[in-house]
Amino acid sequence: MLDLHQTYLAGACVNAVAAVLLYILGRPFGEVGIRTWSWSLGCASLGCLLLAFSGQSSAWIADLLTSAVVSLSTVFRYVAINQLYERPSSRRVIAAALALILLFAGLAFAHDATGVGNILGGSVLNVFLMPLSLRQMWRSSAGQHGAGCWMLSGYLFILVMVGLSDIYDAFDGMIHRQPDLPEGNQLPAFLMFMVLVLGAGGAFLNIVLTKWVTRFQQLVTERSKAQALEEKRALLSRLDRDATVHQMSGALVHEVSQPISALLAQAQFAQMALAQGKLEADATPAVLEKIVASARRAVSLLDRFRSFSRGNAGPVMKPLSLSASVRATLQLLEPQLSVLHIRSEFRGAGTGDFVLADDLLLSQVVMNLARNAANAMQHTSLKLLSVTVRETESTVVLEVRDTGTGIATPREGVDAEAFSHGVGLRIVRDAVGQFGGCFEIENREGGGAQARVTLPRHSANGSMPA
Amino acid sequence: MPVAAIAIVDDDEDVRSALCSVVRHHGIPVRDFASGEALLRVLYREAGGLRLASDDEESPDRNDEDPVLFGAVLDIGLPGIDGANLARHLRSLSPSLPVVVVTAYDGHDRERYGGVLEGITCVRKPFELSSLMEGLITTLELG
Repeated sequence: MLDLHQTYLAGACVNAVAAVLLYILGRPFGEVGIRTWSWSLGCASLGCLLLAFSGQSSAWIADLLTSAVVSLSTVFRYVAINQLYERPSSRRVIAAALALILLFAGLAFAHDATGVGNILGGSVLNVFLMPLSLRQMWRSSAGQHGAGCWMLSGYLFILVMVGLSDIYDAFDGMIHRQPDLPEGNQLPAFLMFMVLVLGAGGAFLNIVLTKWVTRFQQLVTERSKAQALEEKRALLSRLDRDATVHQMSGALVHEVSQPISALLAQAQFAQMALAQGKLEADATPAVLEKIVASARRAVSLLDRFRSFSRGNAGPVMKPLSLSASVRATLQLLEPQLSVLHIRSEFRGAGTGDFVLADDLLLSQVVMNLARNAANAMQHTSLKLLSVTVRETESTVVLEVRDTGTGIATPREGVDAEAFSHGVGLRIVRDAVGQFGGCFEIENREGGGAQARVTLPRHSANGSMPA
Repeated sequence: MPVAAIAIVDDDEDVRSALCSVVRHHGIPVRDFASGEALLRVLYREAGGLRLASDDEESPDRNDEDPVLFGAVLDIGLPGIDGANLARHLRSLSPSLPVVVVTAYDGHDRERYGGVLEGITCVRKPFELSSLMEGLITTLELG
């Protein structure tokens, strides 16, 4: 079993460790309350040390020093609880506490009682301040009222009880003129040690663990939020891709019906003529040639669509002629644009306009830009969509200009997400990012908007230009 | 004795030439055009060579030797004036003229041309020649 000396030594160690841990682990939160509390624990540790070595002697200077340190610890504890539980520490309360200390100090000296330190530091302040701290802690919504809070409450409650008993002892000593009576509190040493552990542990649990748990929870929430956002973006881009494929398939039916009609007419004509014996032998190869040419035309259109319907596989980057891809997509869009009375014009680049991109994703880019332009031109009288592909030394640039109402954002060209048709434009930006290019959109001087996609040029033999 | 001819207007050369072959094969004279404007230029005698039955007999530049247009097959998606509006225009020039419009696909064209196509025979692409000829012959008979 520990004696009082060992108890104070152990208490000093526990409090010192708790102070250091609290200081280090509390740092990332930048909360001033945690730091104040670690100061309080540091003072408590110092107080225990002083009590361990000089508590038994009746040297009044050691007693006074202990008193100062323990008082400081209590004041720090009170301030820390106020800081942690959303309330500025009240100067008036602290001033009143200090006045109380002085009053009791005066009384103790007047009655020539030793053990002043315990009365001043431990007792009076605890009895006065700790109930206020308890009330603040439990009423605040800032802290979680978990195990740490209960532990700390137990500690604070015991401090109040010990304080009351000390004050009683001191008065008893003063009244009965028994100068050696209050030689530290009368609690058994083991219980005293437990009280110190409870204090340090409670503070530690309550503050640091709660904070870390909260931070961990925040991290998990943020991560799941980010994940949800990512999933939403992926879903939107998949939906957009499906819409593109759907739109393409409608346009494709329209396009393919052309050569199929020709093919059917040619074949049926040949059939008819043959049946009536009116098809001359030398005319046959020409008819067959026409049939084959029409079939080939249909096949090449289907080939284009085949590259789109690749299921859920990721983008396949390959060298593509930007002019050719854009022209093909615009061709498919043409019937829909004409329904909206939008005239479109296209100017392609030369032969060196190869970029490394995914065919479907590139079509999505063109389609979304065209859709965005069409939306902006809903209510304007002039509806002209002009699309240009041009080459520079190291890039190929796609420009889509419209005569619409322009983009409605004060930060032009900066924040594509802010637009009302933001989803489409964000998909454009994501796709262009995947191709290693950049996307910007801005209002034109004469009205309307201009979207520009700049992609790195890919030389036909597969290497990038110098 | 002036001959009668059918006009076929389609900007797709393959389709146009196939249609011409078939109609000619049925012994009907054909004039083919790549656009509505080309047909109208001929009808307004800027290029000559075709006239409407309803043309004013006193017209100074009337040429009785020109074949009479007695029917038209129009593709709906023409550059410039589209098939539906061309059909309407032809009808306004000659209300009894039989016209068949070849449309690409249902919903889309209906949405776009809805009212304009009212009362005009439509054949959907890709078409069976028999159904086109049927449509043509029915409208010709009606006319």
